[in-house]
Amino acid sequence: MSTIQVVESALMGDRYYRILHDSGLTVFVYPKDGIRTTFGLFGTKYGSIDKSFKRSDEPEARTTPAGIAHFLEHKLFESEDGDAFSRFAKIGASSNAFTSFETTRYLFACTERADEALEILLDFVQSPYFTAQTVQKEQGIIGQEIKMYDDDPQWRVLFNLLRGLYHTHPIREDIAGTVESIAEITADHLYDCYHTFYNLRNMALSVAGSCTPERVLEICDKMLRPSAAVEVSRAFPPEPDSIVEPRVVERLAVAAPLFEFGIKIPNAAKQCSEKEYATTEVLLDIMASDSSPLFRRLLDDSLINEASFSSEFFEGSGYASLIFGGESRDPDAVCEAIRTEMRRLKAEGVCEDDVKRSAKALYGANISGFNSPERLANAVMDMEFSGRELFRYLESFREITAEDVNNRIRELFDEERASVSIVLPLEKEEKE
Amino acid sequence: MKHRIIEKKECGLTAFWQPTPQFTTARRSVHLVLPLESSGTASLRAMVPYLVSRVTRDYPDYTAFGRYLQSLYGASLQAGVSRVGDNQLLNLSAVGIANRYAFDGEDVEQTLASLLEDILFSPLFAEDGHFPEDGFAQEQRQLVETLESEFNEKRIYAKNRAVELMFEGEPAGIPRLGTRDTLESLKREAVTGAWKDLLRRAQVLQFSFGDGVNGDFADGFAKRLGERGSASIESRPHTPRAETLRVTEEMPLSQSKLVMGFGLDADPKKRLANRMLAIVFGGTPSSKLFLNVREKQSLCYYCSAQNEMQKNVIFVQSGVETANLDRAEEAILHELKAIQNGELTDDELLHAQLAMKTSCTAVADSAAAMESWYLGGILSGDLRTPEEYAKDIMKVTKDEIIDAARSAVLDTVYMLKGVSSK
Repeated sequence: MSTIQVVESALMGDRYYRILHDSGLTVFVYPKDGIRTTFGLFGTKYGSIDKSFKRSDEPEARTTPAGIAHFLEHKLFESEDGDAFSRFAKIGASSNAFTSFETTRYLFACTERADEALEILLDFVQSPYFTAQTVQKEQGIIGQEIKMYDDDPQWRVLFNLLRGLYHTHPIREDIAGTVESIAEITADHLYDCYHTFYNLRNMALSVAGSCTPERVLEICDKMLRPSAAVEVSRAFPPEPDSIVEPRVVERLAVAAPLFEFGIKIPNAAKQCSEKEYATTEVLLDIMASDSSPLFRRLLDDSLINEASFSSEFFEGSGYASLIFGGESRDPDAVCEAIRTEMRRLKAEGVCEDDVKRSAKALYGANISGFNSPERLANAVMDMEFSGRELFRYLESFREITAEDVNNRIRELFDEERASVSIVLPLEKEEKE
Repeated sequence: MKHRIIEKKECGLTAFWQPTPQFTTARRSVHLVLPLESSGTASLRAMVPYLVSRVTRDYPDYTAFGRYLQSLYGASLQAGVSRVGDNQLLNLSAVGIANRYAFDGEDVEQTLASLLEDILFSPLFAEDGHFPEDGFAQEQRQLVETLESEFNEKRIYAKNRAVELMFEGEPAGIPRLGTRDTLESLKREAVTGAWKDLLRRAQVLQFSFGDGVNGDFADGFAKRLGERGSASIESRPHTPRAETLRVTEEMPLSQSKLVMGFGLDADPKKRLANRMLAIVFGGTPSSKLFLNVREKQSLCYYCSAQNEMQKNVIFVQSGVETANLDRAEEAILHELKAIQNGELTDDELLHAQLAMKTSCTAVADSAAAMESWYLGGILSGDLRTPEEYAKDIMKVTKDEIIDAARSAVLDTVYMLKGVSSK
């Protein structure tokens, strides 16, 4: 029997359902009154960082070529008798998929015939079909996707930073792999990884918008196929606490330089709690949002712009860092100002008023996402895969104190573990 | 969808409002619309939304104003500049949480509505009666950096270049922010003049979404605008070139970009068929370009078609290997030729119609989508609701789409050719 838990928020006056289906799949249903769209998301905890893994029924960990999770995402849409896109198109539903560092997710959105759309989603993701020929065809398409990202300065500046911060963790590798690594991928690799990671115990389904738990459960009962009782765990090589390089520079066809400044957080084996996560966001908001003193100084000195400057708590399995980035005529001056602000905050701390104001702003920003079934479905799945819960996270913004933030500052701000990645315009002779 | 739309011709205002108890947010938005005239005036006007929204008379300090918005649950005041057809649109939007989520009981919605009205009609000026110097310098620099940022994104850059080339000599060919030169030569006094000119002549399109919205926001604006004669904002159709314009530029890149612009039949009655043509041609993963150019021939990761209704054109965009640029162009033309030859199945038509119907139905699920829908409708003189539009989409026939394809003329081909860096 499936077990159903109602997750409620008194603050939001809202609720969703978390269901442990007897197939082993965790299912979320988040109904929203007055919304016409049904958004369905079927995801596996399998992303680009899962190059090495250990199955519970095998003695040793295995290592695979980079880019398989993303390759699978492309290939699952195909079956022997046509592709999933056309099945969705027949009922007016749109569909897509994406791969991140940590997960792969397949989605549909529709405004009618949602039951059929959910059936198609559950069916095609559970029906792998790969041949040498279809694998070869996809290598051309993905090769162009990789090249598109090769020219994307924002992508390059991020990965150069990750390579400056991480020695061995696979976070330093491109999500799609490389043209060379995907050339190694065979249909056998795809089947192997599929049967390892697309086990329902390693997956979640999330349906939001126009939906009911009863209908979703009924369709799950009909469509889900039993999975083998196998667990899979991530196997990362040991990652030193130190960084690799303090400064990485690359030149590309850009008009203005871009930068990403990162501070590596050591001992990232355990992902943080809802409140720790929210506290870190409050800290970054106080330090670098557009109403912060740092932002103002940089803006007044014409070193950053409002459109591009941002900060992020970049955290996942076995990695965590604080990242500040944007466009700047003088990235080194921006990084120096960030370092100075870190020292100041460490010495002076933050005050209660700043914490309350930032927490209120972040609470509001989160609430704004609750209109969108897509955001909701993704948010509950993000939280599940990282061992957190959405409402608990949201409500924690009201509990955060200056002491919490100051403790976090002391834990995280270590200049020895900072690295900067810079993309500069080409030099004159390279342009010609 | 029940909604209210009101036209106050005597003050050049069209207002739309929609109560949205299903949303967690409230939104007030205004677009000032004037025809694009020159790069110089485009730059002047582009400064206005950014300047008026950076500080207020009550909060003349940028950081203090930011903190005030943060304390309103992270409400945001967004400025933007876009082009639709031959017009430049200057947008100001105030977005925040709906009042029922304000745990300290604030009236966020009314505060945002007043704020938007105040910054537009009574912005902060320096003692000399112009926008303050520091803000002017900041916003001028940041608009130049926006142009630089668009250059960094090669997909956007290539599309912008194709648009400029295809519409050269027409208002639509003027870049929405002007050029680097016109931005850098802006004078503070002239921007004040542009602000006054906007309030005197621009068509004002205004939108309100939230818990209990009504016509008050529109009435307030009408009073502030007063009676005035506003500019005509009708876009002229694009006349396709007799001979295709071909421009190739080189840059050190891994991947080349291909943008093809097609002119279509300008008869307003053909608009629906033109739009459906873009969908069956390259608008969805079941379209001809996706299935054949990407999936069968593996030539690219993206290859898609979009219709720009006001200018009766379709743009096809793709990213391909430099060696495959010509092959990709041929493959795209081959798919168009197929439609012109009548190779369009019942399923292809139905799938495109259903995709459009779904996106029309989903418009009601987002305030920004409703705004975008009615904004487009007002600008093109077509005030059908998404539901009415969806009904009409389902009536479009294969023959109408084939006719639309037959009217397509290859007008402009822009290639951004990737070469290895020396």
